[in-house]
Amino acid sequence: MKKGVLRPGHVQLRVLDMTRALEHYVDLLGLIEMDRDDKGRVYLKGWTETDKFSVVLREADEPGLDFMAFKVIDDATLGRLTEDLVAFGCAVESIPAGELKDCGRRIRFQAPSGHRFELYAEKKVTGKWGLAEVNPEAWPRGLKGMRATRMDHALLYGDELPATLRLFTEVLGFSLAEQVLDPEGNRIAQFLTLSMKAHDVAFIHHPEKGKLHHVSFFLDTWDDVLRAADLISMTNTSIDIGPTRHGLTHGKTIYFFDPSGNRNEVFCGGDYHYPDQPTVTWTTDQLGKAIFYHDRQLNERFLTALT
Amino acid sequence: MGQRYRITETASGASFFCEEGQSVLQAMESQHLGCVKVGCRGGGCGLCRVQVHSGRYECGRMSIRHINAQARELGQALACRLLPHSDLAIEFLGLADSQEPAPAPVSPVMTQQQRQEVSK
Repeated sequence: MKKGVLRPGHVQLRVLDMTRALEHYVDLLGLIEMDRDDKGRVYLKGWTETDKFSVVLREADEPGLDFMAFKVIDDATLGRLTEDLVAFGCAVESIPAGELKDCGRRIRFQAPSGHRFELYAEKKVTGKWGLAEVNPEAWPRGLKGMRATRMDHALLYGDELPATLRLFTEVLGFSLAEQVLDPEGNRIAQFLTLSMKAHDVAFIHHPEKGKLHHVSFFLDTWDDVLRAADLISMTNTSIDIGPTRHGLTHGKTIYFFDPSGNRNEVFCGGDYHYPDQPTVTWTTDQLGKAIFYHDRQLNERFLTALT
Repeated sequence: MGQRYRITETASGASFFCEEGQSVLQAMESQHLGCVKVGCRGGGCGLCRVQVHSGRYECGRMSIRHINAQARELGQALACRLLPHSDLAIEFLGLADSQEPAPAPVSPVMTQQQRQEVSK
């Protein structure tokens, strides 16, 4: 938050088949469909999120991540950050208000890792889904599937991690909460946060730029993660691994795939981070345990199944 | 029970049955074989790319990054999207280098440069 960047705001994901994608994201994950636009995009969110949407699906002939956006505190901050990004060496693209429905103007830039990111200050506030603004109940009835509460973070694969870290810490004000170092001290994973969360966005070194590893959604409890696993079996959804625990962040997790091959995570728990706290470090000789705390082994799919 | 076809993976010599309407990868996994690598099972990641040497088949939607039109023409497919209509001989290829450059623009917004060119 040091530079006025608040939190993850939205991701735009490419899917091969919108009908099947909606069965997955709405019926299985339990996201709420909030709107559609004339380009065929569908706008979704988790029920606890107060802004109108956090996931935008777009049908395309290649799955993956179009961009991830962060909300900033106000329009003046957006202006200042535009200048800071240009000074850092980023090409900054300006996208007018309304290009995404009910979202204010956005600026878009590419990180050295090859991923496109956006910043914006304004989005329509619709409140938590199904709850009154005043005297809200504990949760709304009528939620589907896993009842995912919010889009939480994304893990991205790409190269140029040192320059990407400088961009996110020096320009955007993220803190480095957790990292993985090789014996020479090279950072092969960096988990970055704007908040008390262990990660709002994370990067793992990979020779190809701009790849998506997963988009993650938050659940409240380990029982909810187990129940999500049950639903994955009941619906014959493609599973990756879990339920298990990560060493990094210590979150309790399950990985699975959407019908276009984009990896999803639902998770609960995990460590907290304040900006004054030292970065948590794992070493590459313990990488298996860092990723999958119980198996203590990386599977090839974790490193290579990307969109 | 529907039609069943024999799928043979030529590199390993492994063979297994696949039912009409079932994907080759799904059939392989259900018979506890590993002659083709398993990734996302959704046509997205490219790990299960195979060459079909013989037989009739159709394919579901696959990422153009891993199977472009030319590769499709040459009989390549992702096993998770490969639906046989006869016995098939396939060969595991695995993840290739990208076949396509970066995907189409994410939204119809002009870059600064394009805007300047238009205004000239």
